[in-house]
Amino acid sequence: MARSRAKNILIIGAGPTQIGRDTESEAAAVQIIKNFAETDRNLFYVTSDANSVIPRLDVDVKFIEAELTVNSLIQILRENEIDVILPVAGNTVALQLSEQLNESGILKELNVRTLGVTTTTIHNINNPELMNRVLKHIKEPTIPTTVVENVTDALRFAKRVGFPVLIKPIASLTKTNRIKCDNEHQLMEMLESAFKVSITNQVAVEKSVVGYKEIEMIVIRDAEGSKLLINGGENFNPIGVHSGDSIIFSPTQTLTDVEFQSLRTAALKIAEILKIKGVCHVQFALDPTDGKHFITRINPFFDRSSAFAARATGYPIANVVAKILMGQNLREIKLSGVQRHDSLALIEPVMDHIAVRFPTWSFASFKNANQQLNTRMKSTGSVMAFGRSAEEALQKAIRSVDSTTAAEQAALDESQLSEAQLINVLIHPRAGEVYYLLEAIRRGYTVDELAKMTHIDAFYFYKLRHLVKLEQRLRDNRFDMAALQEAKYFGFGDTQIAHLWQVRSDEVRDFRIKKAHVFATYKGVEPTAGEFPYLTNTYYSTFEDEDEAVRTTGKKILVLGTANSQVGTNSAAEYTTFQTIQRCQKLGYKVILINNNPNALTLIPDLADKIYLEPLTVENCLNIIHQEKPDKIIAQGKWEIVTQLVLRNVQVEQLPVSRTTRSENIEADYMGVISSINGSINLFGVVGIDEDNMFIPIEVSEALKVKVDPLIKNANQHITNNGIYSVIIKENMHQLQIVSVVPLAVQDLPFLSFAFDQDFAGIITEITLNGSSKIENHPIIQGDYRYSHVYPYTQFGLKKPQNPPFSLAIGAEFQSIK
Amino acid sequence: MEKEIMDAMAMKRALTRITYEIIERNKGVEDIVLIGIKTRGVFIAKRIAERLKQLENFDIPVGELDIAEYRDDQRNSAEPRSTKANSSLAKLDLKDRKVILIDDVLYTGRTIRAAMDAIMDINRPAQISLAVLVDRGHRELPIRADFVGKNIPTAQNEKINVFVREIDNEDVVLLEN
Amino acid sequence: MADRYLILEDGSVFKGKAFGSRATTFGEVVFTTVMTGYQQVITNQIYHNQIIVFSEPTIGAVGIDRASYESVDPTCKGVIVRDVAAVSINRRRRLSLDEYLKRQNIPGISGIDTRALIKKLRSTGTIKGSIIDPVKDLEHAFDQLRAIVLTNQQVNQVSTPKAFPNPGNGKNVVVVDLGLKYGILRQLSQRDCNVTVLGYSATADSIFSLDPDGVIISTGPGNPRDLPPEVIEMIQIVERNIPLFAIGLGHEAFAIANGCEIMELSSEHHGSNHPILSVITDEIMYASHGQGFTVDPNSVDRNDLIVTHYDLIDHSVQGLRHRDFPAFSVQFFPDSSPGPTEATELFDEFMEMMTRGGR
Repeated sequence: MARSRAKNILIIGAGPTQIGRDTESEAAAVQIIKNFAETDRNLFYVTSDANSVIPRLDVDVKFIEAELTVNSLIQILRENEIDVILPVAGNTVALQLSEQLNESGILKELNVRTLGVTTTTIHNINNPELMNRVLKHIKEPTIPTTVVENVTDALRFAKRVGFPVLIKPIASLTKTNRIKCDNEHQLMEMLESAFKVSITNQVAVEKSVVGYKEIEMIVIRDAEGSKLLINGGENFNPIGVHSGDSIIFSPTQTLTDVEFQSLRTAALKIAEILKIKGVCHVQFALDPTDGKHFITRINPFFDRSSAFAARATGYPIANVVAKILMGQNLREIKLSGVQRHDSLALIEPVMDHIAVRFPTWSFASFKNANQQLNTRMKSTGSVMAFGRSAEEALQKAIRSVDSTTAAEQAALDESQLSEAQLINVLIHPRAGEVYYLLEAIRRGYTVDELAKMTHIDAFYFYKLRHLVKLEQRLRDNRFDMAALQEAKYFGFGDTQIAHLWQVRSDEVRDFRIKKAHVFATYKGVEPTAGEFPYLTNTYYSTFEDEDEAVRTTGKKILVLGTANSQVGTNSAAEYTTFQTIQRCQKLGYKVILINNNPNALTLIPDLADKIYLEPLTVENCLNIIHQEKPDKIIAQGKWEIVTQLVLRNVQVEQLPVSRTTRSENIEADYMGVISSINGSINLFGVVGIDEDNMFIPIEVSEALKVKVDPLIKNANQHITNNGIYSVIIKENMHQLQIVSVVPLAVQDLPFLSFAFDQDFAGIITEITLNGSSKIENHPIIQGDYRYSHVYPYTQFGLKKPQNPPFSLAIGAEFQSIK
Repeated sequence: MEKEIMDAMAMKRALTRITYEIIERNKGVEDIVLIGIKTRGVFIAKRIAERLKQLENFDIPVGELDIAEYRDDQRNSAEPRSTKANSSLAKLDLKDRKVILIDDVLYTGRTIRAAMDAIMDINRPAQISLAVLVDRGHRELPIRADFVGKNIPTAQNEKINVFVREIDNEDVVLLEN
Repeated sequence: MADRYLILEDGSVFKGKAFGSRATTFGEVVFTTVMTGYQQVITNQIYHNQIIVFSEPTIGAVGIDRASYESVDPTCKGVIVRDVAAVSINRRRRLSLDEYLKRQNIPGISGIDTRALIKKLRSTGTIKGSIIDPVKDLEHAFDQLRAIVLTNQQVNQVSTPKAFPNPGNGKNVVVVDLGLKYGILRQLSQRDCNVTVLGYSATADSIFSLDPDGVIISTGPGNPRDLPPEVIEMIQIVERNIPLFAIGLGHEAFAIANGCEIMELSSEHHGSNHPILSVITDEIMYASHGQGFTVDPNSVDRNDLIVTHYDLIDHSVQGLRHRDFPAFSVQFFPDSSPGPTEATELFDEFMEMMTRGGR
């Protein structure tokens, strides 16, 4: 059946960042939009994320800020005569909305289609029972589950599928969780209370896969059914710990070929039966004793796993998928980096490095939160690292963790732990588990003991034990060249070595470079493992023979990236870096970026000219500066590193944005945003501040203007440097007065950029690099919205306080004030 | 009770093999005309033609045949036959061609006999052969398939249901009893 | 761990650490990009006379599994890798890779910048190399390496000297062993075939005397042009009479038997990352490759043969089928050990071909 060609395409975003959702969806959306912009389709992007970069892209896309609800979407569909909705760049939010839209009948009524994933598939994904039916149809095992009305049936079932089992009362009078029963006795005990709370006297019993290996597979399929595996990832923790809170290794480290191929085949079969056009992430539980698997999750959209897969392999997943969505097939799509005439995107990625994703936490800021790891995700960000051995990749990941989280770790002095505390962590994993595991090895726990207690594969303990041995060798052999060389080869940082030698890190660096002649070498990240000549712009460091990185020519700038998402600056920091990179390029710089957040917007291909996917540490910065000899270095925040670099005579331009958020306690009524350049002040506009200390863009009335203007002129006395400032104004008895004038805060920057239709981050970048920037005023973007912070209290199981500090916000969203 | 006899993979394989066998037994494919018996035989014929096109880069003509008018067990033989139903077939030049009749299931043989009658009404090919996806036995006429996807011995009271993705959304052969 | 050197014909030296046997070894250095299934690769007899470089940085974690041998006595000359891991706990009963290579007298070297090595091999093509103990007089070692002449009688060395059965209750299949990969036997066992494996010198008569429903010509090592002419003649007779399925070296022999020329690949291709086009269904699939030679596409007589499969990256011929007989062949390994499973379907195709009973 021939369909009319889609004209108006609506991309549904994922909303604000929060736990479990970093900027990966938007990163995918940006790439899709850039690809589609080359066609004649009209693009629309809807989100409630106030930190979205989409409004500031240089391509034709209509940005719609709206609440992500069915009703608001229906209105958008009607108003914009949408033909097609694209739900794959908006995580589960977009998928669920699409399901609701479909159920509401509006898609049929308006003849709107979905792209990338069919409404039937969306329906199946949203209904576990239907999904099980589909899996049975393709002869894929499903987790055995049943509903029983008496103890005998429950016991019979449990014996058949094997303990442990999970039970949950059906139609429960009280809120109940699934309870794990390890044996017959426990099951009988738990059933008794479960039957009591069930109105229908029924209990669901399910085989438990807790303790199984958790594996993820990422596949791509096109419209004609060609499909390939991108990569597999293996969780360090077995099932029981949320995959987002586990360290993940890619490629898989402990699977046999038979196991690996059975998962690959299953993932491809699922993409086929669900008729996926694009990317699909399939999550598996793998029984470590017999290699049998169950499917635990199917994500037919861009998520953190596909983002990690793209970074880990160097395969440009989002660009390829964008072309598939535009109607091309895999055999027509070129793999852009391969330096030969035939370079199909059908080349299955292979890896000659190991990539690790590592969770980062914010428990220092949420002291009351329970740090125990379970099936609810608690990490607020992640980092990734590459190495040529599992040890090296893991060491680099540990060092990738930003300084605030590292401080958290430093506060944990493992050697002070009592044996009982340590054992408790071994059995009940908690945030920062790997540090405890290392301590356990130092205390003489054997690999077998640890593997038994934690259900983590012994492979990893051999690797950790190797690290502890290297640590000991370093301790015993201060300033020993061979020990140093081996330690560097397996990923030890200069600072770690300095700590073990009890010297300053500069002494280690001097010794390493001048005496031992041990230097970092850089390897390209590309998906053919060296089989083909490949042009890549992404590199990682190791300590081997060949160095592949070639010094960038021309005018170049090194940008210190945002690293892992943190509460406070959150995705606003990534927004700012994104804009900084774009402005630097407009100013004629080639941008060299150091960053290590797998979900980062700034790591998409085709943005930075060169990427060092490396831990943001002083050592790495110095190595890269030595390698690249940049004309300028620019940073936003990252004070600890910048201070260290400055101490070593490296000049770093710091973006004049405030990391400290507006003081929430100051009662204020208005905030003006001004630029001050060489003594001349320009007012971009004024926002009203409501009772929650949040902004509402307002049109400045003549009356208000008359009052504000003289105040703004006075603002100059508070300002010494060129830049963008917020002027906080209080109204007292109809008199306006300035409360404070401070550099624009990172958190406020994206929203204000949107409201005033300005590229504040770009302007600030240009002022930083060139001393000034051309300023133009634009009309304020009016609307019935404000911006509000998003906090992770619920995920931590905490009650949200009355006025939580902005520094704990994990995202920001547009809110309707109608 | 339904039992899956062939899944999509097995169907694909069977059509692939039939295609290769057609090449093996016919020196050159230039003289061949495929005629699919409505409804599902037509889709099978088209798929074989696609495969031949892939391999030989040659467009094999495909005709569609409706044999309702020719069934000896369903029609009053006193009435004159209408050839309208097969007008598309009449456009094909069958004279001195090698016709391969294609159907989904071979059972009593009456359908095939009717099909041969219909073809002879139109023109006189050099040769007629028969390809079927499933041969379930119980012939009532001396007819034998030259190309068989799968032999499935059945009981008289059982039913073979062939589903094709073009109209049934799925490729599968089920045995119902 | 003791130091070891890897030296190459072109004069380069790589320093690494010993694992496996400590013998000095010589062989052609080839690289593979497969990421799982190192045991299947190491025990595959196509690597006779060759030293295998793994691009995957860590191997060894799953040990040596009793069900994953591709031959009992592997004949590769060495293993080169970045890192060797200890065997993980749930594979407890298994032998470690290190111990296995010691028992098989195969040397390994770890700690090599394998990415740099592979990039070098990509441009030099297949060259000779040697794994040696550190020596002062490297010149002497290079002289020895350059003087080594590797045998071209590889099939003779790896093919079974005596016929042996692999019983089953189904179709009767003769496998002609040119350097057999057990994955082929596993696939036939799964289909309950009654198999007899014959050595490479089996004649058509000796095959016919077993009254097989089908014949498989197996994979094997080396240059197909070095095969004895009797093997080619045997294929020419058998293909006319019995359904035939030829794989790897067998495919190259089948091509020669039907008038094709064989070319050397500039760089050997080992891995499962290239898309293969199945021409008849116009579908893409993946399978393990392990080839140093390929059929010259210009030499394929289209009156006799159909090209059924292509590699979409290097456009090499990956499958052939005879127009007049039920006989077909593939260059890649359809048995999926190691590697993707989609091509195992070709064994089903072979089964159905036998069911039809040939002509």
